[in-house]
This record gives sequence, C-alpha cells and structure tokens, in this order.
Amino acid sequence: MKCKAMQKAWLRGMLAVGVVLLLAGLIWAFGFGAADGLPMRLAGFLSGLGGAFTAIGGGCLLLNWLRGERRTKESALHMEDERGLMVAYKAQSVAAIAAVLAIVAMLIAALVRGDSFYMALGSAACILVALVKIIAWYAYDKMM
Amino acid sequence: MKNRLEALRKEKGIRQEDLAQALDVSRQTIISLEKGKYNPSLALAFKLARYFALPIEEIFDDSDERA
Repeated sequence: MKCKAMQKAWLRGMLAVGVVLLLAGLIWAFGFGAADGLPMRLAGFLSGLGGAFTAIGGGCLLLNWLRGERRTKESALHMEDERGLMVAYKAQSVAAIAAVLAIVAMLIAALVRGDSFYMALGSAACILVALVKIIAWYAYDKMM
Repeated sequence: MKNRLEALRKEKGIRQEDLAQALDVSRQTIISLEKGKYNPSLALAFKLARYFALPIEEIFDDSDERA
C-alpha cells in the first residue's frame, strides 16, 4: 500500500511538473515569442518535455482509475514481486539503451545540420546519462 | 532448474492464486516457477520450503546445474 501511495504521489508530481512546464513553454512561445530575443527552441523544448510528463503522469493516473481498485492492486503486486521487479529492471535497461541511442541519433542529426544548440543539448544529455550510470553503479555496489 | 512445485501444490489441493497470495508474489511468478522458466531468489525458495514444510533440496533439483 505504501508503495502504491508513493507511486500515486510520483505520478501526481510528474503531472504537476508537466503541466507547469507545458504552460511555461506555451506562454513563452505565444506570450513573448522571438520578439524579445528569447530562443523559441527552448520554448519548444519546455513544452515538449512538459507535454511528455503530462501525458505519462496523466495517462497512468487515468489508466489506474479506469482499471479499478482490484486490477490496480494486482498490477501493483506484479510490480512488487521479485519476478516482476526483475522484468521491470530488464525493461529499464533496454529503455536506457534506447534513450542513449536516441541521444546519439540527435547528436548525429545536429552534427550533420551544424546545429550548435542541439549539439550542446545532446552532449549535456550524454553526460547526464553517464553520470546517472556512474551514480547507480556506485549506489548498487554499496547496497548489494 | 527443475522443481516439484506443481506436484506439491496439487498434493496440497491449492490453487496457484492461493499459493501466490501466501507467498506474497504474483500468480505469474508461480506459473513461471512451475514451468521451470524462472529460478526463485533464496528468500522465496526458503518461503516455499517453509510453506510445504520440506527442505529446499526436496523441492528444487539442481542436478542439471551440477552436471
């Protein structure tokens, strides 16, 4: 139950952050625009990120609500038991590989187009992924 | 790893759902264990041994792994 409550809190948090980012991006794009010298790409990045967070948070909350209490409990149990966790970890590692590939693809596209903004963004994302991996390795090494 | 889980469960006359509930795992885990697709953690193996009141060696057969 504690885990389920935490999951709900995370989803609500994600939804809230998503809505704020989406609104900030939209206000930036339509309220100020390029007239004030604000880069429109950043507005697009904010609204895109916000939209993704809103879709994930809102979608999962809606799915839980539609599934009903019993099926949500079953799903939560499936995510808590050891086999479910192992499957989730494996899926996460595959998702992480996919994320790295997506960043690499973005960097290649930026290199070809000579877009310095996306090159910098891609490089920052690569560094972030590497940092998270190093921290995860360190933390798991201490824990297990 | 082979195991006698299905036979032991049927001997006891319990359903997969009931065993899953007693062990705090999903029914899918019990199905995978019975099919030998998934090897349980040490903690789950001990839980199973306690549940059936048998030593772990009488539930799981690791002769394949030793060969």
